[in-house]
Amino acid sequence: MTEDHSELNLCPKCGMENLPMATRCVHCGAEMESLFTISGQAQRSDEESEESLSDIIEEIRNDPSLKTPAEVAPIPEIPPADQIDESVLNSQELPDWLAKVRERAQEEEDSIGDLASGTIAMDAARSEEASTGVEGEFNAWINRIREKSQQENSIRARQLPTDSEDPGQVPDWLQRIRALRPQSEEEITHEVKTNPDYVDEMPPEWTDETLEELRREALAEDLEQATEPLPPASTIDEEETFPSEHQTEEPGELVEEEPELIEEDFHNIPDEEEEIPEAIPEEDPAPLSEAEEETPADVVVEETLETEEIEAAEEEPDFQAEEVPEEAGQDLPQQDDVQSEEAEYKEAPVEPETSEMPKQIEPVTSLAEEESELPPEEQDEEPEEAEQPTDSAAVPPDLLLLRDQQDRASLLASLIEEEGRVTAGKQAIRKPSGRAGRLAVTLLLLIGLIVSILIGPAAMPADTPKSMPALALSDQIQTLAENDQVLVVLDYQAAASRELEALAAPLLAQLHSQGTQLEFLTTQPSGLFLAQSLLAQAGLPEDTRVDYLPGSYLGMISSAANSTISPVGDGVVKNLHSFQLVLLVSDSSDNVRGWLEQIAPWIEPLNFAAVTTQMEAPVLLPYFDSGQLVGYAAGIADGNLGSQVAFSYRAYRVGLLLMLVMLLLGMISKGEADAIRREEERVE
Amino acid sequence: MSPSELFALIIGVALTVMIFSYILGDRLFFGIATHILIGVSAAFLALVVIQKVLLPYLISPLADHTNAGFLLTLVPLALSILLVLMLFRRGTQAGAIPLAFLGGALAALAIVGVTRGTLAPQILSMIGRFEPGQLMHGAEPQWGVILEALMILLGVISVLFVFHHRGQLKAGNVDRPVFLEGVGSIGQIFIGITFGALFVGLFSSALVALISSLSDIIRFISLWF
Amino acid sequence: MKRPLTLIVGLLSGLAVLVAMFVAPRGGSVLAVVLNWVIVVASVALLVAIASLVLTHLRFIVKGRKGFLLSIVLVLSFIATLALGLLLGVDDPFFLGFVGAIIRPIETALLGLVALVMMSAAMKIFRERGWSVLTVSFGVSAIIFLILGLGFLQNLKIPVLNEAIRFVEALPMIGARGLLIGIGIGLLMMAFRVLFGMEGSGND
Repeated sequence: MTEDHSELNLCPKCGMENLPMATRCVHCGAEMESLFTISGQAQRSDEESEESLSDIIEEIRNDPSLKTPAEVAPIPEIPPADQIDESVLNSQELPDWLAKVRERAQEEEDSIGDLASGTIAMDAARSEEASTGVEGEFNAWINRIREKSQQENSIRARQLPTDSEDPGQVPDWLQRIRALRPQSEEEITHEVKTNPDYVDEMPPEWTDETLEELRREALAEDLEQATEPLPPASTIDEEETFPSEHQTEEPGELVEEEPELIEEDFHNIPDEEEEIPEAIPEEDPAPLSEAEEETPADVVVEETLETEEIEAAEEEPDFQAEEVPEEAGQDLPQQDDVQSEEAEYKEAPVEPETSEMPKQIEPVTSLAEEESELPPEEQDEEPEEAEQPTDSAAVPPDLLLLRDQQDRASLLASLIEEEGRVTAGKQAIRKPSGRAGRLAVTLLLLIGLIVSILIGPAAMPADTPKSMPALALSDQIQTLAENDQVLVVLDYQAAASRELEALAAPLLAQLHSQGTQLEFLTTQPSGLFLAQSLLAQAGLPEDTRVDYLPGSYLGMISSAANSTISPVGDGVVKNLHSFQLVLLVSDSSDNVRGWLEQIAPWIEPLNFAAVTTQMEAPVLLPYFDSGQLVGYAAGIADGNLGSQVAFSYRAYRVGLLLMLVMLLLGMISKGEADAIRREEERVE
Repeated sequence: MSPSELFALIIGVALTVMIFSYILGDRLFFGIATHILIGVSAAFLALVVIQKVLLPYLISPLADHTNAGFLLTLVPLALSILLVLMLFRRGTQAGAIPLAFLGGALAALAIVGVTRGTLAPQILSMIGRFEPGQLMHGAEPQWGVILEALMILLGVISVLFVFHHRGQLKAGNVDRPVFLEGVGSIGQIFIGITFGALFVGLFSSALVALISSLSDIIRFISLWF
Repeated sequence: MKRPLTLIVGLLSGLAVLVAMFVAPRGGSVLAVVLNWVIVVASVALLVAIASLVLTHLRFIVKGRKGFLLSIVLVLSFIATLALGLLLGVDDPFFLGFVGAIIRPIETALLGLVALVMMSAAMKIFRERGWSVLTVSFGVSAIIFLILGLGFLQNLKIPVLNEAIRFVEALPMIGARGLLIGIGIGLLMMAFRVLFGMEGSGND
């Protein structure tokens, strides 16, 4: 048996370590049930848990591996980080790279994430505890496991073949990660960082790149964890033990069951893209237990069963039962047996990897089909496995997943699956949902506006108070006498013409009625054709001359500096000193600012006013406050735009109301999402 | 409605519908409309520049050799030729000189303009709020005015501090006392208020444009019913 | 780093403008001459850019590049407008009406699209940016100004409320002034860098 004791849980009362399946603390007897969630399985009843607890404790205590650690060579897949730390500390001197990893992971909380920070918390808690009794035995046992696994991992990683996969599909770094990943399909519980598998693989010089690689690897492991169905204890044990060399030779069958879950649960990457990376020979860096060594055929049987079991697990929470005690006795195999079985496996009639690839690209085969492909030996074994009792309480620790781990793994799975892969499929499916939402909102606004327009005009009350700058502008216009010269500068684009014309036309009409002399100048070429519309709306003569001022205010500076040289405005507007007011009709606060910055200092007593869009109004406020602008009109209210028949004020209000609702909805949805997240964190 | 107005309305409605087809995910008609816009705008701009700038500023002085401005016009002519060389692969480097000329002149204008037109008036306006004549009405202090002046001063300084903080962040220096963080937060509040007003202003302007476009479409449809 | 010649040209033109502005009005003639040159050169630069645009699309058409149909649309509309303008003149009312009839509805519709995009973006703002001092103040400010934009409160004609509204409407001035001063200082620094050849156009 290969129990993976890597995922230990701390008692909420006494803080001591407990096996994951323990519903009560073995030290103080406190309830621990809420901490546990078995992936894909319903919770067992209390009686069953209690019943099995004593068995498990007894089993652990009777476990020969705990009593005689020197003889043991069990193989947990990936001992968790906390155990790694302990083992490394206990068994050997801490490597430099590992020290750096720890140091950096402690410093960079964001980089390690919640999953790993939980581990750090466990580390901290454990460091305060004394390793006595069963716990001490545990640690000693785990240390040995870890030492051995590190050695074997490094050996296998170096033996990884590189020519068996499509380099175009899988980048090198991902290959290496997957090569180092210890039987990813079989991993159940492990931690994100300080994985012992890296011990030999890490370069001597610790760089950001390698750290990133480590993180990715850890994420990849979480993916495996998330996608892993809960096989029976024996299945896991057997899967964990088959040698990586075997996987290298026959990865296809191993991965056939896996993509189905991945695809359904995590992403929509096409099968080809999905399965090809899975076909990469996966090295098992975990140390091998001789007793756990099986032929690949056995492994395939177990893999095949996984798909059944994950479904059955929903209905049969008691699945995987007494297999654990049986297998506990098999935990002390001899290395010679492993080697002999490896040799047998190599001779087994497995298909070469190249022939497996097309199979992987095909949709996931049914269970029956998969079984039919299995060698007779495997099929013979299958009923035995299927008949295994399914008592979840008896599930070894390496089969258990905490609920939060499962959730986080699910989240991380989508990220890691995108690494080094074509994600077009995923984007293609994501888009419609976003676009549908946008389309709905857009149509809502459009329908609201159209209905409002169709209902008919709703004039804004004529006596609606104006803003302070607009009132100041009105006062300024009132002070102008007959024959006073006013320069109107048209400085806007066609996009804002509707709003600006509606604002400026009443003012121009008022100025015209007061008998002021209006001179028109445009700094934009578009002003030449936009002026026609404005003049028509203001009721001004059609033959009113509109000069084009090249270079905008640069031309005006030139004119102000020396009007004899400058050919600006064909001689119409040469001397700004003669004007009482310059009215800037502009859709850009930058251009207004340009006039105020460049022209105003040259001609001190000249008054500047502006008619601008609502969006530029806040930027002009400081210039009004400083007295550089005597006033300005901006927006619907300032120009009494709402009172104009051609404009639907009701539609405008409807649009503002809808925007208000959208903003509030955005705030509420964000608040709700935060509350849910906080609740989840609290539960965790 | 005159025929020319009707024609303009039909063209306008067709182009508006082509633009709004973007909402439904269309790219073809939207692309056609935008490319028409670019083509027409570019041609109109070119015509205006040629007829309103180059002819009076460059060509006319060159045509008259006796004009005093003839020699002065040779400089922009030379710079313009260098610019035109940029259209050819071998002449791209030649454009650096006229662009440097433009850059230098505009930078100098910006220095003077920003100093005289924005920095000095705005700072003076802020300081001017603390003039005794404004803060006191006879012997009575105007607390409202004082508070307003203080708020404006604090707000502007805190907003400037946000600028400074961003510069520090880019430089990697983020160690600051707590009270400075508080000042930065106040600045962010004022920036947020301004951005909120700008956001509503932009939406308001866009909404007016949208209502105008929809009104045109509805008006066009109503012509036929 | 710029080449010495471009550096000298940029520096000279900048210094000429600076000196002329500081010794105004005596330097007015120099300033007027230099600014006229700037206007001409900038206009030619604009023409060069337009020519480059048209040439690029012509190249797309000749090569049959993907989307070349849109290039054809662009080139045809360009040629038609140019021909009509040369034929009638830029100041011709019919020509101006023709150009206005095309540009106005397209630009207005494009700005209208902004409203639609902003509407759908409004819901995402807080989800994307999270909660912070800036986002919260932004959201509250936007909501308040939207409510003010509806005009209901103003039409209540309550003096105290109107005073409060005026106070709120003046609040963006503080942030805007800070931004203007900050941007002004940044612009000043940038202008000096351009002037002394440390940044800007003409880099080799």
